Amino acid sequence: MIQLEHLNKTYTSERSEVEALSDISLTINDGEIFGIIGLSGAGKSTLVRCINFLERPTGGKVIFDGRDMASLSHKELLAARRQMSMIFQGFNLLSQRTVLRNVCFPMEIEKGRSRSEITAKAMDLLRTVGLEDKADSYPSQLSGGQQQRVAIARALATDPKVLLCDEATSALDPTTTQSILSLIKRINREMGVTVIVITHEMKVIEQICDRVAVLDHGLIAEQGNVRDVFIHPKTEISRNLILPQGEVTEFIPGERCLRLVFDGETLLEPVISTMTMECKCKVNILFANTKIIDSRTYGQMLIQMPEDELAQERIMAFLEDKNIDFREETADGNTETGSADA
Amino acid sequence: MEILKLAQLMLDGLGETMYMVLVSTSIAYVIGLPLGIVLCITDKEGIRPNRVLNAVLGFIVNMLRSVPFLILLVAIMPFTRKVVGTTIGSTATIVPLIVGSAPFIARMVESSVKEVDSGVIEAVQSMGTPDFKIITKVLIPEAKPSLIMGAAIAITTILGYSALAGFTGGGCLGAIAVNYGYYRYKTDVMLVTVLLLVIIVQIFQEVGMYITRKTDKRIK
Repeated sequence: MIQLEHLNKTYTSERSEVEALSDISLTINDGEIFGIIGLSGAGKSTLVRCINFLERPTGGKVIFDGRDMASLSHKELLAARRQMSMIFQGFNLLSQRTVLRNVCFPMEIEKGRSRSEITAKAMDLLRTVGLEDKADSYPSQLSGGQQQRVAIARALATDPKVLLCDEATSALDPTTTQSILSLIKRINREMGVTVIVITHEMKVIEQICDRVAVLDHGLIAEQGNVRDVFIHPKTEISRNLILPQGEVTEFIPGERCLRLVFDGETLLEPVISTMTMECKCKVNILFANTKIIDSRTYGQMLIQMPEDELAQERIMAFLEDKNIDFREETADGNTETGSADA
Repeated sequence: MEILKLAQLMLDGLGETMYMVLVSTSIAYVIGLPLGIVLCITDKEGIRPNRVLNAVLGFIVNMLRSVPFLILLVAIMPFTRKVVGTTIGSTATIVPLIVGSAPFIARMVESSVKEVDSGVIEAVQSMGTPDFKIITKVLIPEAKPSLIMGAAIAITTILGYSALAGFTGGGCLGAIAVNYGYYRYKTDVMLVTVLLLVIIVQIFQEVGMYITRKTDKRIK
């Protein structure tokens, strides 16, 4: 449905040329949640703005609904943009309008819609995001999470096919992030809106995305199903995003470490306790970042195995038996190949 | 001078001043507001960048602003005569007041409109809002508190300019201060007019700030 073909974006100033994006090719399918992850400065924001032509790409094509965005007239382009709404890190609500009138805004600029019809629909949308009681408040009276909900309601006012989320949860605390992500997922499921998520946080990708592209210095480092990229990151940059440096205690040379990945397939159960009891050995947890959503576990954990090789075998056998994805990590950051993956 | 006569003089002066200031401010806004918006949107960061237009308008505005008002008052007399048929009196002063303040107002409007969060503009662009609607439904309403504050400053500046009209025979407070206080050494008359001017400026400024506070939905 959205196809990016060899997309390029170069910023030219008098003195220098900066290539923000080079040769980006992606296909985003109808109804999926597609993640684009990268460190700051990787070109994520430029990429998402090239999709709706807020920034004109300097090369390549953006095909939306079978039409080349570059071939559209100005009027058609404005109409196409209404089919792909966008939400932002900074919410970007109109500060002098009430919540209700903010949601009305995209409909007000359409021709031939009555005030009462617009207001009724805006109220419906506010109900969808759970803020009907805030209709007459102003954005400055709301919390960040509430403002983002209003922004989402406003984005849905044009009945878009695509929702572009530009770091939509980066300014929010973890709990609020959670609720916004569930809301986005719900909108995707219930309204069939295709979602493109731009983020620098792996936890956002692992929670809601089906597929992911890793962007590094304007290039796509790798792309694929979230599960595959998560378990078998092929590039240095992906590994860095998955196990952020500085968050992990330094690897102790000579010790074998395993990275366990919980991708929601694992049901809530005390895996590590069971493991230590069943394998009769102790493990050291170096890093853990897991979350329980709908009684399923998401996230990852880094454990240091005992020195006893037999115990190591037992642990790996146990993990395979429990169907938990794991991967051996070594001190230099390279994942060892050939380890048994579940 | 009798108190009654003085009061009558002041009252007339006050009326003339209000007439001059309010009429010229209104007309100056009719010119300055669109001009300021055009300056803002044709800027290279604006929604319709246009380097040439921006540079030309910017130059004209700067040029008019750099001419001292008293000089402008005299310099455009032929033009004033063409427009209102005379160069003397309050109505004749309105013309140079407009010419002198419209560029200033344009810059005030430009800076107010530029304060509108670029993220908000980007957001409404992402909804496919046409540029004209962005101006009328986003830029002006979002900048409204700042525009009102600017109007209070503009009106007090024009009040200051209008005092100079005394030299061309307008009947305003400024003229009274010049004619009685300066030429005839009646210090008491001069003091009263100055006091009146101070009070008017205070009122305009306070009212402006009050309306700004009332309309701005960001601070609550």
